[in-house]
Amino acid sequence: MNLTEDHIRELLQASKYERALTEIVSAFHESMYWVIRKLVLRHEDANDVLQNTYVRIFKGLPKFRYQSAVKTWCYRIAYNESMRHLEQQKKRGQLLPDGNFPDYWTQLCADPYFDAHQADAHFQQLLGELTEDQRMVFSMKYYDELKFTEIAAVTGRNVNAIKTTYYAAKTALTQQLKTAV
Amino acid sequence: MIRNKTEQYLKLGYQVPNQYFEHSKQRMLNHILMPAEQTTIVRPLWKKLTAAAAVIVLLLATKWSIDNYQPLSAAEFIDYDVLLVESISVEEEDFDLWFEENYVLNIL
Repeated sequence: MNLTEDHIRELLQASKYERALTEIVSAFHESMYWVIRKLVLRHEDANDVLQNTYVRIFKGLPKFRYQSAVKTWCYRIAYNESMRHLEQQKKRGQLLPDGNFPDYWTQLCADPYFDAHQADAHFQQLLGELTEDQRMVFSMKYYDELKFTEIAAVTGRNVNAIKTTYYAAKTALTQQLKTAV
Repeated sequence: MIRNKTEQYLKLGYQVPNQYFEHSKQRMLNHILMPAEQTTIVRPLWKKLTAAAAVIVLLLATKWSIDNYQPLSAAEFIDYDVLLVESISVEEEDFDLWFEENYVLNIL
């Protein structure tokens, strides 16, 4: 447990929920944004989902059961909120003229807040070749530096399944990089 | 460390509006902790008085009409009945004349 985590827990135990939310936003704002952004891809969507996530966190604070770290609990809510958003997006049927759902790279390039000419942006194309599941696990591990146990807690899945998915993603990316070179 | 993380994402092509993180923190907190105050509609006193006066006038008019209600006598009912039956046998072209003679001039 770090100082922030301890401080938030103290505030929750004292039922100071508004202060606790302020601390959560202060500590995890950017990292939660990026967790959401990598899932929903578009900046405007990430902004909306993040706002909704905070609303859910605030409503859920009195029910926090201290069984996981506050950060993991917040990430879990952010993940669920992102999944809910993606489900709604699919239901609204934002499809291409050919009737297919736009792929990862097409969706990224459609966002005005994505620069496809950025130095490492081509790596995104390689990520686009992974399955949705592999991409999500790989990003959480590689970019967000979450532990396997944390990813399992956030996604509500088995730790071994997460490890398998991560190594499969890593192997696929390595092969793609070798081919590209 | 977080700043480094954001820079890492920026290198991947993800962009955010200028000073997004600085501004969005406070905006999102305000949205939750300080919801817009509910606006109460203040109606002017004269409108309330006018509405009350209208209700009182309506009540008085209803009471007056109930007090002054005079049901038709049995004879008047029979007269109406005869007139209505007779009207069936009147030819269409003669109806206006019949109506004026028997109803307009004799009764009203």
